Amino acid sequence: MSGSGTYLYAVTRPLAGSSLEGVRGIGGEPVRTVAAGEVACVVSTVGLDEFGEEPLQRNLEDLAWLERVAREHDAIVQALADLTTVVPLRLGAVYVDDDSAAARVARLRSAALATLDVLDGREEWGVKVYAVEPPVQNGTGPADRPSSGLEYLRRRRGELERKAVDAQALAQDADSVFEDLRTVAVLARRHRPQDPALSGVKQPMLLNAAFLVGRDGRPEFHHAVDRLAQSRPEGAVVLTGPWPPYSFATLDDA
Amino acid sequence: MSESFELAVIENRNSLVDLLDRVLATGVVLSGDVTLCLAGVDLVTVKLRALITTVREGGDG
Amino acid sequence: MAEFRALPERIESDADSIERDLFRLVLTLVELVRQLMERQAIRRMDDLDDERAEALGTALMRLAEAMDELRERYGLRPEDLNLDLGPLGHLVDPPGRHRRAC
Repeated sequence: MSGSGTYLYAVTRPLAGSSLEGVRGIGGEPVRTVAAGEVACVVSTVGLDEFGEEPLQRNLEDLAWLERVAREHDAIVQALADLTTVVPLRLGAVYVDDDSAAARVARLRSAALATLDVLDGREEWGVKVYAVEPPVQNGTGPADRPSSGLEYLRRRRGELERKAVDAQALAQDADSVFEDLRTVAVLARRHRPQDPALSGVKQPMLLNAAFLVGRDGRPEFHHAVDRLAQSRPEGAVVLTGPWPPYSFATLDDA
Repeated sequence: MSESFELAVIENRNSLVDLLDRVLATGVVLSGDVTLCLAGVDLVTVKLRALITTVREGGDG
Repeated sequence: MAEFRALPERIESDADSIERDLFRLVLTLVELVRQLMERQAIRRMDDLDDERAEALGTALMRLAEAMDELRERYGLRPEDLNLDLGPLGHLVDPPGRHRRAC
């Protein structure tokens, strides 16, 4: 597949072209803006050999490619966030050309403007909570061989039920943490707990959440997170950020 | 702005998996295979996806 | 879902260890099936009459004991039979670890 396409990074309010001077897009092409009514599309040109529909599907399954492109995408979105309010798009929004991208965004104009208003002066923070394992309990059940097949099944059922109760308690714990932090944020959203093989962390992840917080509200939010961490073992609560508001800009879902 | 954190751990934004949570529209799944090799030659790959699907249907929390 | 081929877990062998390593793979898969059967039996145990439940329980208990014996014969610990099922966690839980039960 040859030819080029237009990669859309984000939507912003109109930006002076000069403010993007020197910002490089994926693969080194210049980043530029394309007008779409009252908003601007921030784009760059990419090759369809890499970003066409089929190559993109394949590349998305290549972790090395994905890492490189995700970081490049993020660098550009972050550069924009330093300049103005950004509605970031997710990775891989590619259009045939600039006009096509602009037309799409123009159709979503009112959603984009509404989102920009929500995001003004706000930033995203991530909170991850891990379950730190309790000390090993050495045989809470009887140590002797079960006296019958039925006894064996009953014991196994008891063990599985205890595990289920524990799992439920952890889930409720995660819910209450989320609700507590939500009260000191503007918006909140949960992500799927991370795969340990990807994160490299063995402890089960109880909560993977994103919070939209006003810049003025940052100290209060951080204080709440710190308070949360006080009631838990060391390392159980991890804060990340500030992020561009990826988790709260659902323009591409529209 | 000075803040001190007593107990929460602050991670910088280098974590790839945190980034992927945010920039990918769908979740990320690792599929695992087990490969047997002998004398450096890959002989057999057992694909566990079918097994994972079975277990998943059994009891997703 | 974006799905990745993770670096496959390799069971590297030379001619000497091939038997043990093949055994490990076989036992791991048997362990997976054994656990699935056990969970299913537990789900259904109240619907069965005592005699059948007893027979089933005894069979499963013996299977578990046979597995332990086979494992020990090849010097494998429970953790060696562990299957990483990705987002579903591991097949074998170390003691004290929390995991969603089926």
